[in-house]
Parts: sequence; C-alpha cells; structure tokens
Amino acid sequence: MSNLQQALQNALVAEKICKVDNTDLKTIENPYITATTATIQAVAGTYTSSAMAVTDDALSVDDEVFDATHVYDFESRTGNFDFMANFLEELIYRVSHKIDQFVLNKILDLSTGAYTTPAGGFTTAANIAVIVSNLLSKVAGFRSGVASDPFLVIESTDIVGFVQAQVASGYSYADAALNNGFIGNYAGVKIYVIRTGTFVTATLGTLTATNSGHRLFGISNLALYASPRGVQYKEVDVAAGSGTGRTGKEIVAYGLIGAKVWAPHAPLFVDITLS
Amino acid sequence: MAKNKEVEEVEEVVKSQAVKDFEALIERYKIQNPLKYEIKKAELEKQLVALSAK
Repeated sequence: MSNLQQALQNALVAEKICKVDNTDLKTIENPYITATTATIQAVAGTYTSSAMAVTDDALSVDDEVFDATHVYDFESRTGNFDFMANFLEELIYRVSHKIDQFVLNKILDLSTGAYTTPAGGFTTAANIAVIVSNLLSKVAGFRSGVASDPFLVIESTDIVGFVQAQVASGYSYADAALNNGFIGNYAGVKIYVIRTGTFVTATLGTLTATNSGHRLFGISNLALYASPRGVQYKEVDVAAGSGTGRTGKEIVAYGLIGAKVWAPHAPLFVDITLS
Repeated sequence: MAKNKEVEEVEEVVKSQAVKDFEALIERYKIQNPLKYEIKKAELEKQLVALSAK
C-alpha cells in the first residue's frame, strides 16, 4: 500500500543539545553545593570554618502533549493508503515537535546568561563573528570539560548573515559552507537551525514563555529533559452513545514532558536578545 | 473604504482582549521568573504598548 505524503516537518533539536531521561520518574532531584571561597593568609596554622550550603533543585514533569484524530472504518477499508499508520506517524511527529518547542523555550527561560546582539542580529554578516566570540567569552575559563561543546540555536530567518559570513570568509569556510550546503559549525560552536516562530511569547502548558525575538546559546548535554516513556500512542474504539456512535478508531499520540537547567549551570546558557 | 461602526466595535473588543491576554501573560511571568522579569520588563512593556496601538 502506498504512503500518504506527509506535511512539512521541522527539525527537532532538543535531543541533540540535552540529556534525555525516558524513565518513569516524575521528579529528578539534583541538590547542589554553593561555591565556597578558599582563604589565603600568612602562615599561622589556624583557620575558620563555615557551613557548606546545600540547596534543593529538581526537575518536575508537569506538562503533557497530545494530538488525536479519528479514522472511520470506511476510510480504512476503501482508501488506497494506510490511513491509520500514516496519520499516526504525523501525530507522533506533531507531539515530538511540540515537546521540542517546549524544551527549547523552557531552557531559554531558565538560562541566566544574557547577551544583546549588535543591530541587525544574525542577519548582518559582519555581526556573526562578533556575536559568536562574545557568546564564547561568556562560557570560557571554566575547568576542562565544564564548558566544552557549545551550541547555538537560531531560527531560519537568522541564517542570512551566517551564509554570507561563511561563503565570504576565505577558502576553508567558503568550501565548508558551499560543499556541505549548510551551516553546521562556526568557530567551534554547533549551529542548530529551527523554523521561525519556535521561540515564542506565549503560554506553553505550565510555562509562560517570553522568548519571541530571543535565541539560545549554551553547552551541550548539561540541560536535562524528561519525557517518561517518550511519545506513546494508542488506538481506541469510540463508544457508541445515544445516536453518536462512530465507526473506525480514534488514534492518539501523547507524551509527558519536563525540562531543567540545573542552577549551577544556568549561567552557561545564554539568553540572546536580538537587536 | 471607511469601516462601519459595528466592525470598529468588534475590532475594539478583539483588540482589548489581546491586550488583556498579554497583560495576564506578563503577570504570570512576573511570578514564574521574577529575576528575569526585571531584565525583560522594558521589552515586555514595549510589546504591550505596540499591541495596544494596533
């Protein structure tokens, strides 16, 4: 049987920049130590001690995403396509995409690093090196391994400056940009491109996001998102009520989601304001 | 072509609902992330003014 042409699907990036937990945990606890300060003094053989502060921190799975539809029996029987499978594939993708959007907006909201781009933002080629170098300086100087593997998530409308900067800046960059066809890495920073409108000022479940006009920079695999058992689906018979029965089956895809940037790592995630 | 009064009245209701929704969003954000709200306050207020002027 032929497959239906799927609707356009956007790139999913949350799983590439976060650690993912698919276990059944509703909360993940991760208390942290507040940094202490060592004292240096002339040799005296004495010292003072202070209390070590430990603060609770937890990820909580508080949101769920679903998408559902109905396939009538006559559609299944007489269609030239496997509606059930094709619709389900689409529903699962839509749920995954919404989870992706939630995670990206949540991480951006929890970030405490801040940077405002020069006028023109990422669409001005001359800004790209300035922006990326400034972002890198925000996470530089930490112990080896702490701030390695930086990433930058931009929207599709931002790539104008990137492409111009890459193809115009010498053979090495130009070749990479032209031969590989797209932006993958700039100055050691992995670039992920998502569709315009992914960072939003809107209500996303329990999250109030104020991220329109903002972009995300950070360190890979430090943020965590939890989606117990990932995206699941089921097919259910719709019970016939009084004159309201329907043939066929309802199909639903659904998933639970929570995301967190642990407090000590929050400064390693930068909320970029476009100017 | 000039809009008739009824169309203008409907638009006014829709507009003020959008403004109300945005004000509610700002209030929720103030509680959710007070530290960041202080940083974003000016930006959000600017967006609210732009929304009100539409």
